[in-house]
Amino acid sequence: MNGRIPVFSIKYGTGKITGEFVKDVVTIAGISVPNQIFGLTYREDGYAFMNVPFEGILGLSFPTISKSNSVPFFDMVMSQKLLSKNIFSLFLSENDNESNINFGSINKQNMLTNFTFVEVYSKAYWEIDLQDIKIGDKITDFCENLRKETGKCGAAIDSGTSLYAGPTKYPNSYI
Amino acid sequence: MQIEEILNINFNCLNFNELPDIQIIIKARNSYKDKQYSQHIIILKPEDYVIDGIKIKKKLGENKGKNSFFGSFDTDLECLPGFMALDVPSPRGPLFVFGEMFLRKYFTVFDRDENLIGFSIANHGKNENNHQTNIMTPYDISDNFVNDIENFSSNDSFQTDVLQKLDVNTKLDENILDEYVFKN
Repeated sequence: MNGRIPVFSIKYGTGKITGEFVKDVVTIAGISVPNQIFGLTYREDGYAFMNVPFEGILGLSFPTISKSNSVPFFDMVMSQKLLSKNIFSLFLSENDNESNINFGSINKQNMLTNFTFVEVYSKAYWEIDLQDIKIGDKITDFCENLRKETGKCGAAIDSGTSLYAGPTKYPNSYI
Repeated sequence: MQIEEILNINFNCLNFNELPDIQIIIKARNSYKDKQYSQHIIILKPEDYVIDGIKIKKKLGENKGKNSFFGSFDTDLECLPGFMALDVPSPRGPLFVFGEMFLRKYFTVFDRDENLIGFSIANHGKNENNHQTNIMTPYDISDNFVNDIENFSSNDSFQTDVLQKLDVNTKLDENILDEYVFKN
């Protein structure tokens, strides 16, 4: 692969990958998508890639933020009607051993309460619009400030981020 | 992030028991396909937003000295704030990002049929008798939702109203589940 010109480069919070796009059959737990376009990396920089023994990243956000401008895996699954419900559910365990992702179903064992359903705000990230954030009983102006600038108080639900993240200039005061 | 200054988490966990809950107030559907909305509050307790430094240290054990996500942290610290600054550029940002810490607390379903995200308190196999206190549902305001939103910050009784409805509404309802959970 040496000497080849990287076709794509993606920066993450803790690393960067470069590579090119290929097309192949992608099969996950028996769900098979032919002619799936995906990125094949030949360079991974940053400690996220050094210490974690994973083989790749499967993007599950909306097609609008696809780097390849191709149809992402889950959208291929949807268009080919491979699942009766186009959902996926993610359970992250506390001991690293029992985490699971289910395509097309929900593992009831993972639930302690009913679901609270929130509408996706914009079809890019899995993003919702928060009404407000309180600390203890006190209303903060985090959302008010964000809404002034962006018209929303967006929160992306993202398994590719470790912690809770917020813009550096917000929140900037406390009522 | 300023939120750390507000919370002022003591690195040795000396004020852990006094740390406040963080309440995320959201507008949620009354049920899966019901396009009536009510306010729900997602609660993050201190254990949901404070990183257990001891646990991280144990995890890092063998990797000590190597670069790691927590490489720049002094892992002798016991309580670390789970917040970081991240500037998602315009037009999608600035926005908040709720990452793994959040997803560990809330088992999440991503629904492309309805374009919904569903949150359920994740079952980690502990005996949590008080788990109902984490998601508060629904503040029954239906049609008056918009008005109530505008007024609620000055309405002192809001919190109390929500709390009163709490237990009834957060129990696992088998009927609602059957509509949505698929048994293979």
